[in-house]
Amino acid sequence: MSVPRVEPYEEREIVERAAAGDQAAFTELVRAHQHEVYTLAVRMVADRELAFDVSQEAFVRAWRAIGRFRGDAKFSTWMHRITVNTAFSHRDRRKRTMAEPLDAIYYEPESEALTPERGGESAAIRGPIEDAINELPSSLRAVVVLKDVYEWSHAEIAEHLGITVTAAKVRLHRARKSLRISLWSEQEDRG
Amino acid sequence: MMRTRCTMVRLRLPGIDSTDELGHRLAAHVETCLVCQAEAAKYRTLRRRMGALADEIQAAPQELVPAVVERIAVPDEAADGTSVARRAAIAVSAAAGAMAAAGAGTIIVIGLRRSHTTV
Repeated sequence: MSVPRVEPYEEREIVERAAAGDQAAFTELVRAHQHEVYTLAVRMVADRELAFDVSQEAFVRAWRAIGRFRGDAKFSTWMHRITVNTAFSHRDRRKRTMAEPLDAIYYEPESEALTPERGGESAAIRGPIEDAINELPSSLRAVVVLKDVYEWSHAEIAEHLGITVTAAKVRLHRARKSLRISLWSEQEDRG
Repeated sequence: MMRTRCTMVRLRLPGIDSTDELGHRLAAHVETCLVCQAEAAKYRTLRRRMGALADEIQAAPQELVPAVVERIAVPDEAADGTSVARRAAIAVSAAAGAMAAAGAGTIIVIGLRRSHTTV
């Protein structure tokens, strides 16, 4: 889809106005970045309804913190970090109310490709790769999305997810191995 | 039958971004082993497809912007002490209004019952 772009120099001005408390300026930023933020949230939490809540909360947190935004990084980069942190706090809150069936520590990738039931309605829309990502446990999904889609370093991932660099590497390894199995079944290998 | 080096390559591939990271001995093995080359190609394809997702943006629901605007329009209680006092005043007057309405409702009900019994 085509997303309206805000030129960097214009954006700096808008960010400055928003940082000074201008709600209309901040609304412009929300309009310009809503799709990216929502996409990242969907990829982090694998649930559109929850992604909506995460995106909304991320923008509210950004509004509260924008006075402290120094402008060292791009606004979009800063927003991505807030979205990742918000997604994780939502996940933790959700974990307290319902047990997550799989966890990275015990997770072993399944040896079969996606079944139609697991694929669901989204298969035709987003393709098998996004479905395979959505099937991962959240802790593995977050790492592989941030590393391979958003090109974060292991150190950045570790810092934002509150894990060690070694744990980030282990999770990436497990996530990619699982995706590889999902996308190319072992049957195909034997054949 | 899979050789030891093939097994080592399979173990290492998910965690690396390029076969250069395999080290000299294993990289040399990959150059001569079609099975490992095929496996390395799958991980390369996987990383490329993942990278391509960065350009695939999903449309946010139309309600997102209005929902954010509505939330940021509410003054932050922690930051603004006067808004807390104002909200407290609104809450008190709302409660008083509700009590008055409940009282009026009771009077109407009593009135209706009385009128019902007299008919």
